[in-house]
Amino acid sequence: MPGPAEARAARASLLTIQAVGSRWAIPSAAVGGIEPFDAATAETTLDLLALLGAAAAPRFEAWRVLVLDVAGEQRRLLVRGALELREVPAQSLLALPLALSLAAPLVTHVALVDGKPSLLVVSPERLLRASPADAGSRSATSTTLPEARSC
Amino acid sequence: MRALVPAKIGQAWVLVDAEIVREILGAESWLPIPGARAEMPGVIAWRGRAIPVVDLAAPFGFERLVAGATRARTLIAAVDESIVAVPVDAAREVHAFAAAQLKPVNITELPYAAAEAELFERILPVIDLPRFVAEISSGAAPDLERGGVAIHAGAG
Repeated sequence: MPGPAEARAARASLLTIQAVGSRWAIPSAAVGGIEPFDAATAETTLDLLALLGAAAAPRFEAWRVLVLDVAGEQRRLLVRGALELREVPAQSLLALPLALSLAAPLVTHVALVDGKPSLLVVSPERLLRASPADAGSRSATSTTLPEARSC
Repeated sequence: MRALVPAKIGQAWVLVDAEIVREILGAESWLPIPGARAEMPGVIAWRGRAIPVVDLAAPFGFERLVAGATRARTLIAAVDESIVAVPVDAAREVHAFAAAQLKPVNITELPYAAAEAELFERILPVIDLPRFVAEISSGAAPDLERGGVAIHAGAG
């Protein structure tokens, strides 16, 4: 029987983001924090859903900033959508087929929930390297950051 | 003899080489990949891996798979060095055809037809699935999401 440490290692902790028609996930180990959106920092904040080519849920009012932290390097990402922490068995993370990696270059895996492919798992390392131009090219919607709103 | 699997997509019955079909499953839940082309719109989970979903309805000009929708059967096919899932509306038992029963494409108008054979009192196209998948993967086939023209089928 596996000990507690082995049991933890066999599970992956993900922060999930609900968008229109898709659910995204980031390994929670790479999330340094979640803050209310502040217009003063808008210039250094990238719209995560725009980077992913996804649309935010309509009338979702909670604008938050996810602080990505990978090996001490940080990036601030605007997130619009319901957030949830979820643990999944490590074996439920399946590598994205190569044939689809061009369409979704930030996605490395899909995660199964109840045996069904349900979450698109984004690479924190690739998010760090993504540029604002990527957001503009991947989203048909405006990537203009919102005015300051309460969290 | 050549073994072919009859499969129905939209209004059309087609034939697919049985030797590349690994398994026939029921309706499978699939995950759309945003930005993916209509012919390869997402993935399913199969034997502990994620494999691409290939939608033959897209080049045929039939109703495409949309998020949340499934088809009653899913062909799992080995194409080159990869495995793909092909959702279809129906599949039947394998039929064996003699070489003389396979004719050059003459009547059917579906793209990727490599030959024709008579079954169910109809002339059905034999679909070259490896060529279709290779063209999608290499980008040789026009991207239907980005202005490519679908060829509408006359088979049925």
